[in-house]
Amino acid sequence: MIELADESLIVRLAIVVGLGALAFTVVFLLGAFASRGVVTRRTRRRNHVEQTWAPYILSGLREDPGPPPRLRRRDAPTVIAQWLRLSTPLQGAGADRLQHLARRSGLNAAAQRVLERGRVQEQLVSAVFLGRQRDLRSVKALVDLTDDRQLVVRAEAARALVSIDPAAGVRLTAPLLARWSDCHPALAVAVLDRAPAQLAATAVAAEATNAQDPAVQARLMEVLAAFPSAPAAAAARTLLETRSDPELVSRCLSVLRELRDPADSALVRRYVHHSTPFVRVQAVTALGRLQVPGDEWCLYAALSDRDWWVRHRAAEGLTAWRRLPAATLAFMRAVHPDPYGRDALEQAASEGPGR
Amino acid sequence: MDGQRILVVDDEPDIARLLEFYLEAEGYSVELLTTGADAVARLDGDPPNLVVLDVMLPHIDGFSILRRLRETPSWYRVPVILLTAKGAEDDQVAGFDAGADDYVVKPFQLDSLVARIQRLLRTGHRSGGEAIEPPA
Repeated sequence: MIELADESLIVRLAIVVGLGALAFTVVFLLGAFASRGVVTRRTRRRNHVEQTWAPYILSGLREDPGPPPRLRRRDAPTVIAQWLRLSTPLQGAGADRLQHLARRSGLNAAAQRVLERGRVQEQLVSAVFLGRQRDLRSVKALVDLTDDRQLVVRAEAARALVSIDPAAGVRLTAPLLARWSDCHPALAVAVLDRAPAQLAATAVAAEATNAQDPAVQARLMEVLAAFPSAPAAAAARTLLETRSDPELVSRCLSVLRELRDPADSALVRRYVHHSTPFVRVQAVTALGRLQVPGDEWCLYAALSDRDWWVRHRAAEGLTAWRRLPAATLAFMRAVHPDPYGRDALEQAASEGPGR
Repeated sequence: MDGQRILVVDDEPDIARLLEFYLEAEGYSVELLTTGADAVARLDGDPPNLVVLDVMLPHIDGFSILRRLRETPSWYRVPVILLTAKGAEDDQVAGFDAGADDYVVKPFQLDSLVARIQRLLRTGHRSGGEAIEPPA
């Protein structure tokens, strides 16, 4: 009897497990079909909206297309994205006509609403759109977005502000870029790229000089390397005189390297024997760009550096030295006392412009 | 410009649509292709009066297509305008070396593109410094 009871328990258990698995499968399949249905409906809706608006937008390139199609709130992100795709490749009269038409069609207002309440992706597209439209009424909403917890949203909002009003946008954005420790310098450069270079450099240079944290200063100097200018040079020189953080020093040297002012040669030379290899790399690379007569011997000496990259950059600098006669370079290759130095010159000569 | 045929090769549907709309409004007949492979296959057919060709196409770039076009006898004399976001001087030189008649960088002005098309349809593809009329 005990055996019979055990068997019926196992059978009951098996039935329960089987039914459970079946139920799970059915629920899973229903869920999959339902979400597929949602996606399909959304895609159809999006295609329908784009097909409705495309003739209106395209007609607007040549003439007044009349009243716009009805714009439902939920369709605004689709239309804004479509507008951007069609207008971004254009400039001149065609772009101006589309800009004017977007304003008249209520798209600017719709984009502002999306900016305030949309999902991240929709906010990004709207920020790009409002920046392109140069809509002053969206400034407040964009400024609010520069506080968003997502860097990509903050950065795009800042970029739009710079597009709308470069001078005011840069003044507002430069301190933000200094505060955003999660903002890579390349992204910071992208935020500022719609502003005149001098304007951007002046603002960033001021932030770099006034910041207390060397890590912040180093990050801002890396941004300044993309805007070689007098303010960038002035900031680099000031910081080299007052700061010793190796990362910051190397960034300042890279700014001076881009500017190629022979007057910086003496300042750069101080770092050729720095204790940190990457500082020495930046120093010899900068000397190789400045090409001040006499400094080629500084590079010659750097061929004995214990760090490979320093030797390599020194060799590159010598190989590219415009006023160095080929015979002198060959002499250097032959007589340098360090075999690694001679190798570095040999390699640089084989890679560089034919000497 | 009545009935003159322009072939547009661009993988971005919105740009292709924009060009098709604008050029048809100017009175041209427009054929659209969206891949390099389709453009190469099209070289077996009758040539249009002019080609507007994007450079950055997937799998085969516009420069390669242009070189093949210039090697195809029936297409050799068709004027080609390269339309691309690649605006560096090296890219422009490469485009002209490959046989382009004009090079337009995005973002571009529509009216300026139309003016260039009209000029090339009048003068044709230049070979060895002489203007050669495109095939009728």
